[in-house]
Formats: sequence, structure tokens, C-alpha cells
Amino acid sequence: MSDNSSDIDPIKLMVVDDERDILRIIKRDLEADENPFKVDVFHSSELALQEFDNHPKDYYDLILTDIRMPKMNGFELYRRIKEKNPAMKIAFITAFEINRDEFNKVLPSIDVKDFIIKPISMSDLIVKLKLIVKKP
Amino acid sequence: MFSKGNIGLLVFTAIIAIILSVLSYQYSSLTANKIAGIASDDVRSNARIEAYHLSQILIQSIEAITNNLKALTNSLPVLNSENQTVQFLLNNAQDSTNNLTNAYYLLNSSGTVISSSNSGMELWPQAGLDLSKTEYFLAPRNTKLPYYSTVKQSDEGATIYVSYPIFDNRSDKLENTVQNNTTETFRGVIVSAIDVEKVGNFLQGKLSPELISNVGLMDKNGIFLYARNESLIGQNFLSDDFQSTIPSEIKDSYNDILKRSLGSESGSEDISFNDKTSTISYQPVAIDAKQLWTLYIGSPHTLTSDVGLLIDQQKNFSTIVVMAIGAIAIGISFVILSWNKSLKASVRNRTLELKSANDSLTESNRLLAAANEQLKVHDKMQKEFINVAAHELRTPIMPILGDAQYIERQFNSEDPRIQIERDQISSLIRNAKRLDRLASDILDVTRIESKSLRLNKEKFNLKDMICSILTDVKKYDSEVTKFPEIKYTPKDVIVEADKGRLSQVLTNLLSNAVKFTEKGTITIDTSESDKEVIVSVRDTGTGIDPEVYQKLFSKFITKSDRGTGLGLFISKSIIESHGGRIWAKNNLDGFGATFYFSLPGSSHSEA
Repeated sequence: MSDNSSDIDPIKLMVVDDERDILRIIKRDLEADENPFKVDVFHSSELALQEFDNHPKDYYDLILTDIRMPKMNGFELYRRIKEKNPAMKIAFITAFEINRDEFNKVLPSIDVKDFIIKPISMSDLIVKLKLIVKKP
Repeated sequence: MFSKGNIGLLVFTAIIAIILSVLSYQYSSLTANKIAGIASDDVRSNARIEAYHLSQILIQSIEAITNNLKALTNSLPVLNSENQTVQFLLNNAQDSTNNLTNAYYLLNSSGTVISSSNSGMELWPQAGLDLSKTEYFLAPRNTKLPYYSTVKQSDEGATIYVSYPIFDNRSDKLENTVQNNTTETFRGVIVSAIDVEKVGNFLQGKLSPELISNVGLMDKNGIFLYARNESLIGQNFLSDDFQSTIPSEIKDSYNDILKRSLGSESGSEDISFNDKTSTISYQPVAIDAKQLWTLYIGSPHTLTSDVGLLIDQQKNFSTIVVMAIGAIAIGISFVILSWNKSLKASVRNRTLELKSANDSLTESNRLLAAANEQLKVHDKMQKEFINVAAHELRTPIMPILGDAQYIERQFNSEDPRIQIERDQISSLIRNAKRLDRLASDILDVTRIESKSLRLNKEKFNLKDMICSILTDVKKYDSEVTKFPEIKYTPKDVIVEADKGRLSQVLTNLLSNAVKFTEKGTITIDTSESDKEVIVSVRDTGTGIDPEVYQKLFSKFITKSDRGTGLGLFISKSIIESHGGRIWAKNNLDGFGATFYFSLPGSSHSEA
């Protein structure tokens, strides 16, 4: 995997989810040969924040986080990271039955640009993530 | 019963009715008294007029007698003792006053009857009879004045004698022409016998027939010359015989009237006894300018009492009418007030009914609002549940799908090698099981809510079940790095329960304890008494959030980030359908909580 990184700069992605099986398949599929992703996975927000601090603020191109997680949920993580780097792109991935409008209604302070509903096939997920990263 | 105002109105009506009755009675009485007064006045004046009238007639009649007597005393035949002529004259005199007198007779100077108008009639004094001892002979002879006797009872009946003396002046004039005052010669007495009965009949006959009265005649000594009651004739009014006839109540006033009547004044006085009034009119009777007698007329006010009776009847009738009207007014007032009262009462009842209806409406509105609120809460919970359920359902699908698609892609690639890792299979199984558990939970809730949860009870040792569950839990959560220590001291406890369901409860309690206890100890304990078996699961975790404490065993209640909030609800239903209880409390030391459940003891069938 690291072999390819020299060719093109891979998209550096942080994935946070308490479901280890999901982390496993996302990392596996997104880092598959043809895909331009470098994926770091964390099964808790705390671990993710620790790792975030270990890098420059704009090290990650995108952070993809679950919402419902023990202890620190996705919203809290979002807030913390935005504190550190307001420009950081953060997308939510959730199994909740929720749409964008409802989301903004419940949490108007969080300007949710992107969220992805589980379950999503890996191919669809890759397309969506590429799109989000490319957006200005 | 009635309000003050209404009672006041009733009393007012009653008072008005009573006042009207009294006024009516008074007015009627006044009128009656006036009419009675007028009638009495009438009776009184009539009596007086009558008395006067009657006395005049009597005087005239008596004067006729005295004129006869006077004429006879001066007549020549008498003076000359021409007996034949005298007899004739006496008969003429008797004829002229036959209505009152019984006889006239002439006595000579020695008191012997010379002649009588009734000669030949046995009863009357015949010529030759010596009447020299009689008062009517002696008195005129001695006084030289006319004599009026009082009444005398004789064989002829009650009689009054009037006698005139006969004096002869002629011889003196002839014999003593010089002396004018020579003594007159007493020649005898002319007597007339007045029949009292005739006088009475005469007077009674002269009385106006419309005046129902009694006539009486008294001489100036108070002796009855005539009275209706014959036995009184000749009696003094002060005699016991008369006095005993007067009611004692009016004796004095009656006697006073009689005494007054003996005076020279005429009068008219009322005397009342037993509501009956009589007017006694008296009139002095003077003869020869000399008051001899008193005529009196007693007129009972029968007309007045008749009128009075009628007026009394009228008075009573009109009073009764007014009273009846008053009573009717009171009755009507009463009825109206009662009606009004019942109307008021029914209005009040209706108002109360309306109020209570309104109250119950308000109450039902409140209940409805509460129900609505509950529904909203329920709705919210339902929504949350759907969210949580969606989350829990979808979450396992993604890894299953991801792995399955990964494997499928290998089949599609040209590379004939297919790599399947152990991890992938485990993940598939684990997530499928998760879905299975979730499906079971949802089905259980459905069963509980439709009350179709069935138990297959059997006897088993709780120790074996707990040990088995502990093994499973540890195996299942082996991936959890920090796993709390679970303490259990195995103890034989036989229970009769549905093995699968009870295992479900224990697993739920244990996994909850594990979920909330990152580090520390979970202690499982069983205790047994005659009545029940109590199982407790004590952890040293975060404890029960006060927010959910009250509704801990309700549906969709969870503070976890995993799970649907159905576990405790299902557990409670299972334990309760076994006849046991389930409860929980935070530990007193402030660390963690303990969940308990009890099952009815099976000691009776332990052997």
C-alpha cells in the first residue's frame, strides 16, 4: 500500500466508528489497489482525537465519523476537531433514520454538509468520499 | 325550606289577610252598631211617642170618667135625691165609660148605697149596702176632694175606685145669703169602679200594633195598677214578688228607672240583659192637674236584635269571605313560592349537573390532554425506538454486506484464487447473530404486548445455568479489551422456570452490567428462602442514571449507545409472568447498581 503513495498523493482519511467490523471493511476496501485513499481507523473518538493531535492540523483531507458511539459521540468529535481546525472537512456516516433537513433542525450549530447513511456499499462510499474531498 | 325573602312575603301576605279580616269585621261591626243604634233610636223614640200618646188617651178616658163624676156631683137629681133620675144618670155615665168602668154608684152621707148603675146585678153593690168604712167613702168626705184609690182586689176583679164628694151649696145660699162662707152640706159620694182589666185591654188595644210592647200603670206609690202579669197588680214594685222576677244583674238599674218614672218627668231609658235591649218609656199621668199615675211602656228591641242577627250573619259572612280570600292568597303564595322554590331547586340541580358535566368535560379534556401528552411522549419514544432500531438493524448489515461483496468481487475477478479469512466469516456470523438477537427482542416485545408470551417451565439447577451464561458472555465479549471481573460462588438452587427465558433475563442483566462497568467487579449472588429465590447482579459501574430510574423497566429506555432499550422491559415481563419481581437500586457505596429478581420458591417440590 505504501508503494503507491509515491505516485499520487493519496487522500488521507480518518474513519471513526465503534463498530470494528465496519472499520475493517472500510479500511480494506478503500485502500484496495486502485483506490487513492490512505485510511486511519479508530474505534473511539478519544483515540481519534489523540491521533489528530499527532499530526499537523491539515494532515487529514477528510474525517468520516459515526454519530452514535459510547462516551464521546460523533457530534462532540466534530466540535473538538473544528475547534482545532475549522477548515477540516468532516462527514458523518450513520445508521440513523435521518435526513439532512432534520439534522440541521436538531443541531443547527453544526453545519452538516455531508452525511452518509449506513449501510452503503463500498463502491458507493468511495464515489461519495471522492466527491466530498474535491468540493471546495 | 324557603328563603328569608319568601318567608317574609308569606308573613306579609298573612298579615295583610289578617288585617283585612279584622278591618272587614270592624267595619261590619261599625255598620251593624250604627244600624242597631238607628233601630234602637227608632224603638226608643217610638216608645216615647207611644207612651205619650197612650197617656193622652188614658187621660182623656179618665177625664171622661171624672167629668161624669163631676157632672153627677153637681146634678140636681143627685142633690135632690131623685132616685129614679139618678139611677138613669148613673146608667148613662156607666154606658159612656163602659170601656173602663164597671159601675157608678151613689152613696149617701152615711156611706150607704143609694143607687148603682148596675142595680140588679148580683156582684155589684145594691141599694142599702153600707160602704161607710171604705176608703173611697171616707177620703172624699174628710178631704172634700176627689179620691183615687189604689188598686183593690175585689170580687169583681182588680178595681180602682174614683170617688167625688157631693156638697150641696144651694140650701146655704138660700138659707144664709149674708154669709158666703157657710159650711157646705155633705150629701154623699159618687163612686166609679174602674176595671183594671178593662184599662189594661184598653191601653193594650190603643197601642200601635207594630210596637211589640208591654204596657203598665203604676200609681205614685209604686204600686202596679195594671201589668201584663196579673199577679203583680196591687203589688208595690219593691215587693218581693216583683223583685224576684227581675234578673239580679239588672235589678238595680231597673229599680232606678222605675223610681225615676215615679217623678213628674217623662222619660225613656234602655236596659240591656243577655244582649237584649229594652226601652222603658214612662209618662206621668195627671188628672185634675194632679199627678196620679205613671204609664210605662216596655219595648224590647226585637227589631234591633233581628237586624243585629242579620248584620251579625252578614258580618261573619263577609269576615269569613275575607278570611277565605286571605287564606286563598296565602295558599296561592305558598304554592307559587313552593313552585318557585322547586323551580329554583331544579335550576340549581341543572346548573350543578351542567357544572359537573362541564367539570367532567374539563376532566376528560385534561385526561385527553394527558393522554395526548403521553401519546406524544410515546410517539417520541417510538420515534427514538425506530431510530435506534434502524441503527441497530443497519449497523450489522454493513459489515455483512461489505464482506460478502468483497468475496463476491473475488469470484468476478480473473484471479482464480479466492481468499477468505477467518475474520470475515466470524464477522459475518457475529453480525448475523446480532440481527437475530434484535429480531428476537422485537418479536418478544410483540409477544409481550399481545400477551402471548408462553413459558415452558421445568426444574433445573440455577447454578448450572449461571455458569453456562458466564462462559458464553466471556466468549462473546472476548474482543472487549477491558473486561470486568465476574464473581460467582456456585450454589445449588433448584428453580422451576422456563430455562430459555430465564437465561435471557440473566444474560441481559449481565451484559448490561458489563456494558456499564469498564473496570471493577460484577458479583452474581443467589439466595433462597421458603418463599422465594432471589438472584442479584451487582456491578461497580456508573450506576443508574436518575433520568431513567423511574422508567427503568419500560420500553425503549436506555442510556447506552448500544442496544434498543428493550432488554429490561422483556426481562421484567418474563420474571413477572413467572410470578416473580424484578427491581434495581444504586449501591449505597455510590459505585454501580444492583439488579434483583425473585422467583417463587420451589422448595415444596425440591425432593
